[in-house]
Amino acid sequence: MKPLTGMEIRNRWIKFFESKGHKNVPSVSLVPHGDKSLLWVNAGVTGLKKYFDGSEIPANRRMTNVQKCIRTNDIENVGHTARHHTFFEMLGNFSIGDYFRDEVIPWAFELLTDEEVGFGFPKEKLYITYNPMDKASLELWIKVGMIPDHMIPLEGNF
Amino acid sequence: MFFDRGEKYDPEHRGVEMLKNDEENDRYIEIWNIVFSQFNAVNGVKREDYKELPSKNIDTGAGLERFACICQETPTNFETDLFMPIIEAVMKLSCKEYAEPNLMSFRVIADHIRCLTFALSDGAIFSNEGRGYVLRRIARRAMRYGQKLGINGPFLWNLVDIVVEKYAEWYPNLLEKKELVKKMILGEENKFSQTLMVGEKKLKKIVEEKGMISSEDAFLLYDTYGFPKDLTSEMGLELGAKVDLDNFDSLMEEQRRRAKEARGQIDSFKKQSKDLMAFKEKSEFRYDLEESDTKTLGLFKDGVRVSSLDEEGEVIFEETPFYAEMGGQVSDKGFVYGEGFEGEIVSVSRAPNGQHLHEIVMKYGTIKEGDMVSIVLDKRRRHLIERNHSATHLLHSALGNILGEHVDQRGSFVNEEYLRFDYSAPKKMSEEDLLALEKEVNAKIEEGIEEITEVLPIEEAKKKGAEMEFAEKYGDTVRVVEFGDYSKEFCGGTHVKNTSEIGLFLVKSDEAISSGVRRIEAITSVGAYDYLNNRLMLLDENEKRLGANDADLSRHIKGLLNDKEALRKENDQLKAKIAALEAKEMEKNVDSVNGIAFIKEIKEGASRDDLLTLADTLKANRKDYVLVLLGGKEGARPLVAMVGGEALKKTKAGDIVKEMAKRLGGGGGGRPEMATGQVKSSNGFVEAVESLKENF
Repeated sequence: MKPLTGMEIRNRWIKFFESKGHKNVPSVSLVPHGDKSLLWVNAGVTGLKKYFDGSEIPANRRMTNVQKCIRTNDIENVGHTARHHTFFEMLGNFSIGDYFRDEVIPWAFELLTDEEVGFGFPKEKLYITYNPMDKASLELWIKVGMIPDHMIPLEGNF
Repeated sequence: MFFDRGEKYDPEHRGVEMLKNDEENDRYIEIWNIVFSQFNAVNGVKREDYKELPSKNIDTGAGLERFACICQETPTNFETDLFMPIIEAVMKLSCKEYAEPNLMSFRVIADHIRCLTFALSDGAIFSNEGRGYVLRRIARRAMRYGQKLGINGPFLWNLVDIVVEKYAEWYPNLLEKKELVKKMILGEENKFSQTLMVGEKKLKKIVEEKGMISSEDAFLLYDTYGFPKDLTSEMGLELGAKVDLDNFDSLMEEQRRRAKEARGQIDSFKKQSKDLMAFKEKSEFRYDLEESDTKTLGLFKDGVRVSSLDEEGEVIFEETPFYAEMGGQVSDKGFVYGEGFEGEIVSVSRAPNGQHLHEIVMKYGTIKEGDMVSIVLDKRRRHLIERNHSATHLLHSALGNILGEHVDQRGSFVNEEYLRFDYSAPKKMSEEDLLALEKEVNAKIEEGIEEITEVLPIEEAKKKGAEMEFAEKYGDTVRVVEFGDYSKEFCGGTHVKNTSEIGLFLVKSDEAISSGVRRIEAITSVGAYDYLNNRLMLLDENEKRLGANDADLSRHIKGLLNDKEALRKENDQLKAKIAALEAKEMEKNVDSVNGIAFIKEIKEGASRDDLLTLADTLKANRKDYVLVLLGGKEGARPLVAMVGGEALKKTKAGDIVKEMAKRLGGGGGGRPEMATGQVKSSNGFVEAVESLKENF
């Protein structure tokens, strides 16, 4: 495993998905535009909602980003736990009616495990939870190299 | 997707069971989530019955901080290079180690200063509601943890440097906003110190007098002095008082409700405010400027005159380039700068004596009466508004030319996004007229007509034949805005210098809004370009799907429609053939009794109408017949009976249906030739029909 810095992780993520035909979309402002129901941009997909609901068509149907996010529903908990933050950065990749399961699962496995272009995580360390009804995903993960014992069926995992 | 950080983070050796039980734990860290949107989830529909979406989407998310924690093999996210430089800066400031019992304080500060720096750089500001209030809480929480580390005085603002240094390479806008953000945070820290000093005194007094702190006391401290609830509770306990804050939240809720009601009344307060009515100093609105170095004449808070402002309020300047909302044109927005303060101008209205009243929100510092300030318009927004406003004038003239008569304006609205024009018209314009209208306005844009504004006595203006919306609205002198000979209107709004600046004009809709009144909505320049561009992309997308290009798209679609029509015809013919075959098949079941044809049939699933159609086919070319058909399924079966020719002498269709209904359970009736009904079951149907034959 490589001791990558935050900057190297961002670059590696974007480069990987660019090599798979994705457009790198810059982070949108944390203050949402034209959505009064939302206090902050709180997920990678928030700035791309207009594409997901069909109100706009993206120039490229494959997109990737590093998005600034703020979640302030649980401020009092920050500092108590190892992983909760008010501000964080979310890495993402998106397909608007383009690729689906058959592409994204092999890519995810490659990005996580590949030493050269990915993060080089040993596959023995990886676990996947999946919805028990989603047999197609289960088979695909195993086909690309996941250890079958590390596939965990979880009800409510939609 | 989860990453296993090993036994080290699993002291009870519970292993993968924690994952299976979906428990929050430190060993298996969720690093990435992939969402497949394949089905259309509908409430009340079982998951396995969801319909597939026409276009399947993928949306994934992975936390950078978690990836860093795993790659750098740190105990928590906070020891990664995303937080550690900030924590080190806090160590220097506090002269304390990043270790227990202070871990939490370091983590809170490092987290919160990142949040504040990014949020303020993106345009958020501290305030008492919504987003600004959340930021205020975050800043105050960080300050409190600074105190726990023994840091005295403002310190957060100094941490902005390290955050910007660490993050500007990826987020360059941080660098631009750094100095502003530092000032905003310093201002907030000073304000909180003030709050703490005053609040602490009050709190001590309450404890001395009563020996306890109630919800009402805590709420008073919060509401009047901005003293936080958790601090009240903590300090109260330190002073040895009993603290009971059970009721605090409901008092808070009640306060929110009152505040919400009050907000609705602020506008009417302003108009009736005594202070504003008494304020008579002159303030000049300058059409020719986009920024101005001027002086503050009067400051107000919800209509009450004050000497200084450090949050929200209203200001009147000696001179202003800011347009106040009037005549359908929205007010300007922009900024106010001065020595030691900066604020946003969010809207502008008119005070009772006509001065422009600027609603401001301070970013940092305090603005005082008599201060020298620079006020600057959001120029891009102003120019977009001007393009829409001038386009409205061109539209007004073009409408008159196209409709061949004077057009009564019934209202208009322009902002930076679009324009709206209401006019009286007896009927809808044809598509050709609408297109001609759009063309005419665009031709005037292309001509590049200079704008001329004259200020004239009203009588003289009327002689010039300028258009006006409502005559009584204008004073002794009026502004007349002219675009050559093409358009002349009384207008107090702001306009482009030359029609060519409008660029492009597009009508989006023309709709009736009440009897005899129609509304046109249109867009110009950048907005029109974006709109067209979006439609072009839609076109490209569908051409790609059809393998067509602009030249042959119509041919492709015509081909598809022709194919569809041909298939429909073919389908009809096949259906007719099948029906004929079925009828022929049934001929086999036709019995003849004394020259009368008896036809009976059970058609599973057939509706009443299906049965009637079938009956028509079966009785064609027959003269003397009895026909009984049953459809549907067990429980509800439509029934049709028809009788013709000689058979009518012996029985009637209505009687047959009644007889069947009695035997098979149900009801119905009709004329002698034709009757319909509904029965429950087909049990005994054949026997019932057989028994009919006995009469013949």
